[in-house]
Amino acid sequence: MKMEQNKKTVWAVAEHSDGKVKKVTYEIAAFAGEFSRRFGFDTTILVIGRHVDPLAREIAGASGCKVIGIESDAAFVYNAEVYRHLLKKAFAKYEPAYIFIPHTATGWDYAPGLAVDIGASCVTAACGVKDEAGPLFVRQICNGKLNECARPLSERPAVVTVMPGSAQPEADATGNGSASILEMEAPQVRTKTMRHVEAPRASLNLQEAEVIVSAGRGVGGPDRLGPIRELASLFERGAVGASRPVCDNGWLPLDSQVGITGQTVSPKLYIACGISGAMQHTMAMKGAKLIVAINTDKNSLFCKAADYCVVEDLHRFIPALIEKIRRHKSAG
Amino acid sequence: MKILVCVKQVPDMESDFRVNAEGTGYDERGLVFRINRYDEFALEEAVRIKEASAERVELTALSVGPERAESVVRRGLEFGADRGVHIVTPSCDMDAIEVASLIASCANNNNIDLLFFGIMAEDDQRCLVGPMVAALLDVPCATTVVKETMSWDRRCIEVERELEEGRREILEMPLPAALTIQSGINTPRYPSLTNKLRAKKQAIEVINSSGLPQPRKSGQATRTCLPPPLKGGVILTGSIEEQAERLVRIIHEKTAVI
Repeated sequence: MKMEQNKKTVWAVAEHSDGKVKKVTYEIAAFAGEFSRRFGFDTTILVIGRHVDPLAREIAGASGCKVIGIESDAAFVYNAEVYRHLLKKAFAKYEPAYIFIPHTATGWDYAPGLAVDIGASCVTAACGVKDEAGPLFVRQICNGKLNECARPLSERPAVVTVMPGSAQPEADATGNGSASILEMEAPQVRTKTMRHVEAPRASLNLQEAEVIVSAGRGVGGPDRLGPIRELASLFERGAVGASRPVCDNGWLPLDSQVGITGQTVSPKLYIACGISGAMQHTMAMKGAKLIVAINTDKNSLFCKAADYCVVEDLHRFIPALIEKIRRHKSAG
Repeated sequence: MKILVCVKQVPDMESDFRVNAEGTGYDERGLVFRINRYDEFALEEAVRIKEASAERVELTALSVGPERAESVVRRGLEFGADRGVHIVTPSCDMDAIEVASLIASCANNNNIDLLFFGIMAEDDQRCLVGPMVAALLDVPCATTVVKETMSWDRRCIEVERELEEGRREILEMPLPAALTIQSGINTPRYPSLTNKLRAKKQAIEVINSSGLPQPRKSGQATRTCLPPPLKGGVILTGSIEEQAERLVRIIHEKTAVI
């Protein structure tokens, strides 16, 4: 009887650093909550840490969910081996059917190993759920040109990492949240976290910009960025951004990178030039009010994510656009 | 000291992708295949370690995949790998855990000290195989690595991982260990003509997957489909002049930044 009850639980694993709960925690909680309502599960949020009680209570209060704080001295900082060990032990005790984890540099670091440890199916970077006689997880493949729906085996647990931004958290109005603490012994681990390095105080200008003109590989080379810079300079608070490959190739400095691992931005206008659109880029700028893509490939993810799409060679189109903007400004 | 670099063959990402007849993946017809870009960064990093080492390093490039995947093993040899291993599978329609099991059994037989992977494959974008191999072998693993320093005498490696918004985390792991490499860590080389000629002649060790311990099926059914159209995505039409004119109007009306 106990077994059956436990099978009806899904977990969402929280993310935090430096004593602060990260926004993805509430997103993964909202994702798990929606999933539970649809498929008849109960949601529990797990948070792992040292001195975890205040975090557990904060999450319970904000989400209205049941929260289990896993308290362990070894979890004073994120460590993949520690997380896997503690989650495996907690899994053996509660046997949830699904474990939802944010698809972040932390989540994709420990989720695959956890799946192996507990013999679970593993689906990564899910961005939605479909119901076809049971849950299917929707994910993008081939740079978003195709979707894949993955159905984990029903007789196994499933570890699912979920793209940030896939569910919108709502402030809890029920006050039903509760927090309990589960103390666990510190495991022996081989990986030692030495230190963290903060991001260079870089592109504040990207954060503050009203207009971002971003360059992708389609621009063609570091010597061909002129039109991008000129277009950005036409706006009072304009800045130049870049896709990951452009920074990897050294065409623009790393601090101009827009992406989950770079800068997350929400300008009034985002013009993507020659960017095919990796998901990690589109996720980081979807807060922009107006998104324009200039790309020769109308099937690229970016053209689909944009509000407006210009399917032209950017080196022919941008000069024309610059001229029209100049004319508009002098007329206005 | 033995290093294994795992490389995958993927289609060119600029291609137009269609769903295959079975609805289980992309249609391979008309696609041009090449090495996964992230794996090139991993290869380059491993070759640099080999070149900088005073100790003898044996570097193996390994790929799991159908016949055509041989070309990416050869690419590994062109970069400077000493050995090329191709685990031939009937198709490329495999789960990450199946691929990881094949790699793990091969690594186990070879006493590998350091395993390199790209952070993900460009086609299925799963970020799974590297950390799964590490878990199967029970060795520590660091993902999204942007820098690493070998400490030969202490038999450990210090790695720098990229976190969100430009933060980084620095870890130390004893060998054997596995790393998944983030793009931009280096500039992958253009193999020299000498290396290309050597790679062309060199024999690749072919292992039939049916001869290895049969991988565990994670058994998830997948179905592939065209994504639904996102948001508006209005495609402007007309001459370049007309499109530019219209875009200026749209920007003016919707954002007032001009």
